Amino acid sequence: MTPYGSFSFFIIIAFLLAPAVILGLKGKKFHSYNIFATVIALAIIFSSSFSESVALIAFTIWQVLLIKAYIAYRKKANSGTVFCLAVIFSILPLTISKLLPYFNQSNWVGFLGISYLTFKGTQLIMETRDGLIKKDISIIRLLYFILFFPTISSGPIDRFRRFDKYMEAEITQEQYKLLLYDGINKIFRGFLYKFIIGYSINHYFIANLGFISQSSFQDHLLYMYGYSMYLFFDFAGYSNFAIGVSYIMGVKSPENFNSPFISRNIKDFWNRWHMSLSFWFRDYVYMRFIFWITKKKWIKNRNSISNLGYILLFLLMGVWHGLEIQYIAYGIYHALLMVLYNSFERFNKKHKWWPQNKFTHVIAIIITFHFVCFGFYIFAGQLIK
Amino acid sequence: MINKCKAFLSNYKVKWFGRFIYYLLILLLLFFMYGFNDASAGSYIYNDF
Repeated sequence: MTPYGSFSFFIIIAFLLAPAVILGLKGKKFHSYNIFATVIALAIIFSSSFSESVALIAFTIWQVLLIKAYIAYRKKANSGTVFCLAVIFSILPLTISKLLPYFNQSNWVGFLGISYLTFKGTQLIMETRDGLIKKDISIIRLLYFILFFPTISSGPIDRFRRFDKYMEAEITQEQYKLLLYDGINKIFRGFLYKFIIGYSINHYFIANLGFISQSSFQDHLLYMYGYSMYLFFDFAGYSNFAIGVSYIMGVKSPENFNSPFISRNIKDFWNRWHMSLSFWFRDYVYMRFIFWITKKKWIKNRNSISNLGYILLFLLMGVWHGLEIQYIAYGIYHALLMVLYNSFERFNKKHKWWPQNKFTHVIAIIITFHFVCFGFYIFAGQLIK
Repeated sequence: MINKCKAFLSNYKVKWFGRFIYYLLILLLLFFMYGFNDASAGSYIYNDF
């Protein structure tokens, strides 16, 4: 059963979380019940596919063993080679799952949400290496973090230390009441985005573009804007459901969107769009790359290092979406935009060519919006397939 | 005038009523679009990644 894909899923979740709501409103601890609810929800989500269930169990055992082993190792030593091996082993199932279809093999490794679970596992290894996670994590806490069902299929990608804080915190009746209201509000916004606006854009606009548009160019242009809106309302709708259900379970999962279509520039856009993923790539790819190159002193020019970091980040992000040419092109396109914007920002700091006022702010939003929509046009596979 | 509007909108009862209408509208739209059938809004784009 697809999470948040049908009304029956919401009815099941409402029944499943009713005891958690009652416990929360009475000011009692409810995380033990939520762990039980997570097991039931996972069984419901994966019940339709035996192979995916087996893959999920195998993947979870693999990640837990790896994380536990690395935490134990890190207490004694801190070798870079062991760290690299741990990261490679952590992303290995995801890599195999992405590659198998290209070798005409059935994807026996993949399951719904493998990417997002991998991001969580790899993050734990990286934070252990950085000394941010020092104490041993109980198996139950680790499993609950990795398999937290509201965000299992497509995030948002939470950080362990954040998640752990909510596990430790004692939520009062008043605090839970606010969380519940916010959660319900987000779920309703999710219905508005996914089931009303997103559905209408896809079924009444995109599907009828052949009748609406007068020429091939107009067809492509309308598709570009229509698909951009559809992608936003589809994914933001999902995110609202996932975050709303998390709130009801007493965990404030991070936000994924912050009005991305009013971004002033491409950098601003990536601070507003699919935030939990872009922040993950920023912290664990870009920052590490910058730190590593600076330490090795291979390149001295800071601007060049930063540009190389952006190229690496967006290429990886593109490849993560898939090895199809449109995803790689999407990554290259955004890398290029970031490099160009980086250069423009430096130029503008010196020459004050683009003034900061309300008018230029609006113009910047309009320009960014069109560049972003063209990116989604590439992403949709309409420019190159 | 603006302050009066702000005070009116921040009134608890107005807020509660506004939210009630907002939820009701969403539920009505869902009912008009899907009736008593289970939703068929399609899978999520990002579930594929």
